[in-house]
Amino acid sequence: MELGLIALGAGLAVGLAAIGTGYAQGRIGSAGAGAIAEKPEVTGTIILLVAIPETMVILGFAVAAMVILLLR
Amino acid sequence: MILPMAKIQIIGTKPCRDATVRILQGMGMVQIDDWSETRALVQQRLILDEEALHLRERLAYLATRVEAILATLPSGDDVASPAYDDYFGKPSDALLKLVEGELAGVEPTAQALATEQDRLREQLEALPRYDATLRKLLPIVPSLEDLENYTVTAILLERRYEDALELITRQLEELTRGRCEVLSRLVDGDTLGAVLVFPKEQTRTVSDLLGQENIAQVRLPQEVSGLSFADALADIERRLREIPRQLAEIEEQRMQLAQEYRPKLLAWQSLLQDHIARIDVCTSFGQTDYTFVIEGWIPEKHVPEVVKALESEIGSEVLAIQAPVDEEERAQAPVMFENPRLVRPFEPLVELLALPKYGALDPTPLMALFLPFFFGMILGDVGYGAILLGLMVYLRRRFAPGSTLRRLSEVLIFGAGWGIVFGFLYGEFFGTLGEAVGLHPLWFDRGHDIEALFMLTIGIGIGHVVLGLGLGLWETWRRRSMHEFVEKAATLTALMAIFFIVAVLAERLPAAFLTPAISMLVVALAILIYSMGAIGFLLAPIEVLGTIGNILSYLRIAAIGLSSVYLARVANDLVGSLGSVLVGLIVAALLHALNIALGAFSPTIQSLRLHYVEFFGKFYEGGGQPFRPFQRSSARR
Repeated sequence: MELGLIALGAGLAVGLAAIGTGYAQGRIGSAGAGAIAEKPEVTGTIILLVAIPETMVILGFAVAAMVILLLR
Repeated sequence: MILPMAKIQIIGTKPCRDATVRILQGMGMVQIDDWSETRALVQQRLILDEEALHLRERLAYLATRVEAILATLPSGDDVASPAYDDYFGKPSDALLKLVEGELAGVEPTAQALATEQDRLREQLEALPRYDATLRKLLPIVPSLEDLENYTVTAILLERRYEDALELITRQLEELTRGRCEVLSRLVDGDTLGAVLVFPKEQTRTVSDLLGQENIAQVRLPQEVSGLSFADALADIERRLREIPRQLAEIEEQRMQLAQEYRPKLLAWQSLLQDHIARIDVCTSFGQTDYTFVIEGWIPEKHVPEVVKALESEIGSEVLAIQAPVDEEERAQAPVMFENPRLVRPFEPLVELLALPKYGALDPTPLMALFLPFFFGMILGDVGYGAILLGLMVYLRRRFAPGSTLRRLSEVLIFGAGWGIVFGFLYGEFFGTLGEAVGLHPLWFDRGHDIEALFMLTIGIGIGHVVLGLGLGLWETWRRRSMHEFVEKAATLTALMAIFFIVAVLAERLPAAFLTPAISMLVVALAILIYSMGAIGFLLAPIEVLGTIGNILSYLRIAAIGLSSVYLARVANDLVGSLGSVLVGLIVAALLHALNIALGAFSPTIQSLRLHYVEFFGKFYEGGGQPFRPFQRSSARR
């Protein structure tokens, strides 16, 4: 039972962070695609902007891994 | 590194202008600046005289004609013929005469072939439609050869408008006082075909009548007008058989013409563009009554070469000197990279973000060092690395030297190499197959020892971010930007203090370190808050936390790598669990292929991001202008 809860917690940590990242990247990505269509020279900046919210899911992953490693 | 630039000033008597411009274009080493108001005291902007403008117009017209012919010819191996190279140095008049003369030989033929091809293609498109219509009408058309004074018009109607036909018949009878005939029948389920026969003098009136009723007449193509419907149909069918053969003949002639003339046309096009550019560039010059003045940027090491070339080819009537540059001007200097061959493939990746400012640090060598390393750490598989390496070596051969794709494949070659190295360190071969083939981790198994992997990536993050902050310190010190220097120094100190505190809490350092570390953190934060001004209370903690976030961001190296390990493990475990070994093998192969595709893409993006956001953010200053030398159009390709 306890193991199940740990797994559930870890899953939530990654999953919810991934939803947040996905939402943010979706919005930035659609605006970015529009910007690149008009000014291709901003491609680098847009990649950078799209990549920024990824930290959230990475941190979610770190928390999930900690939950599993520390509580197991 | 960024090539040191010098400002060059070239002054000469006006008769030497053309020769000077030609030499500069041939050497392609000087970026010519536009004349600026700051020079207005002693010079004016050079304005082209009527003769030059007229010459430009002739050159441009000819260039357009050459381009138009090139557009009509099929393209092949586009290599400009070197036979006309000496026309680069000849006067524009000679080039005009040559090209005008030669065009007379090719232009009419090329145009005639293109026109004929268009005409035949149009017919090939249109004739089948007539063919179908005539076939439908033919059964109701009487033999009409003897109806000399009569007009025969066919119409097609949708069946539901059958009533309209009666109306037309009545009106036609009224108009011609009964001297007409209307024959109609269903040509297929929904279409009613009708043939109207009436005196020639009524043609116009009947046409108007049909127009009013919105009924389209079946018109025969021009080529067969005047023939009876049956003859027209036969003629159209004969043409439809012949046109493909005629088209093939024309295509062959076009190929022959292209083979003979395309290399020449390309050479002329490039020469004409060079000559036009030579006239255009003069509007960026300054002038006095008897002299012209050119100012521009040139890589410092090329200055003696250009000075010597001008001196030896023109003599003392042109003087080139390296002009002194003040700080403000230096900041405007264009940027050109000069890196060792192994570092060069990484230049486009830096440019993708922004070209560094002139005088700033060129991060390309650092990127060349770290990016493949991060890539390898994420990929970390002997099998995947070897496949990717083979694929990239193959792709590198496929792409032309200097092209972006070739450079990208070179970047991935380094990455795949490190991937193999880390594969041995982690003991991975197509994921978990390593053990089966006797491959044992030389360092640790990242699939099981996740803690070690986390520590490793965070350690690398600390190293990379601290290096970035250090470079930032160095850059701000060099620029004498004390404010930023203090900010970066305080951030770095706060970070160090936090490391000490964590080390004490993790019992890696004696507890005695705790108090000095906390004091260090407090002092660093105080300095940071002070240096940031009024909103420092808010920004300073964010700055420090942000930097810690940057370091934690390196966990992605572990995360993406682990996801690849698990996907590979799933692929391998499937082989046994799907019942059929063959199906298992196929599914496993597909999953591995997917993993390799992801393994090429994802680590590149992630490593790039770690550079752009976490590393460059600490020191990089973009916004440089690319170096665009005045050169031959063929050199630009």
